[in-house]
Amino acid sequence: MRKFDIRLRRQQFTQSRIERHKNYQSLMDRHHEANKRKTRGVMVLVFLLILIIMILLAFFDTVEQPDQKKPENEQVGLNMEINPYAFSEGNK
Amino acid sequence: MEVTFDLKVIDYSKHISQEEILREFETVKHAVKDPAQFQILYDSYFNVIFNYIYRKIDDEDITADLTSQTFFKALGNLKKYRFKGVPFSAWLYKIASNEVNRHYRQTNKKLVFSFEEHEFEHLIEQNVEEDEELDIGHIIRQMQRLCESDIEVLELRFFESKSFEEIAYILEISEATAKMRTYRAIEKLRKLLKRREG
Repeated sequence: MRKFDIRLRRQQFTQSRIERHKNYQSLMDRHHEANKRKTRGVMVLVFLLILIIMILLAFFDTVEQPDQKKPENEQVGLNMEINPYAFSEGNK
Repeated sequence: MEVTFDLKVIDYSKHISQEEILREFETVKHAVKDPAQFQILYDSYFNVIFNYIYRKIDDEDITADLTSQTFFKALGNLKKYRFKGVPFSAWLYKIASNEVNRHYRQTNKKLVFSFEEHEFEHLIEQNVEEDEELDIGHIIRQMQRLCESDIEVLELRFFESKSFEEIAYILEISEATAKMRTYRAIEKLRKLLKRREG
């Protein structure tokens, strides 16, 4: 339980005294500034996301490349199937 | 001396009708699309929110900052506002209350409830019979023995003249809990005042 003080004010706050603190224009300026900051933040976030995706794509691309060199044996197998003499014999 | 704080005693002049609440909600919807429209709500509620915060802070400059922060947050989160049948001011009170709590968490200062003398006089006038005498100082001393949540509901009910529906919305409790909490706070205060008399 928080401790608290109860105070008694003799004088009432006058309307004009409160009005001094009223400033709608400054509120709107703050709001627009916050909106701009928010938009900038979102843009930076999107840019970072795109950058991360691109880095990841590039990374996986380099990881996958050595696998493409692997089917050397298969190529041999393919070569064996092709009989270069078959064409020449057939033509004769 | 019989002190009879009535649960129903409330200044209805501060209340707005259901039509006005709906009209106000239309303004809120317009303000979502066009923030310039928010000025209508700002002008309507600046004074009451300022007074509400001042009552809990007792410092004019900090109150001005927190009031400004309250409206700034309200404007920034206007899209999130959900109409629950209570005046828009209840939402502002809720934000203001959160801002005040944040202020006390950050500064680690002792919580203050600063009431105007005329508000107390009004409360006593309505609740104590003419031939009885009850000084404000005595009530304050006894109120000091209540817990913070009791003072909070008493403040909203008697000094802000809020309906139970609004109190429930501001404190994020059910209407039945708001009624019960107010009733218990009044009972506690009544007992404290009686005990001292005896």
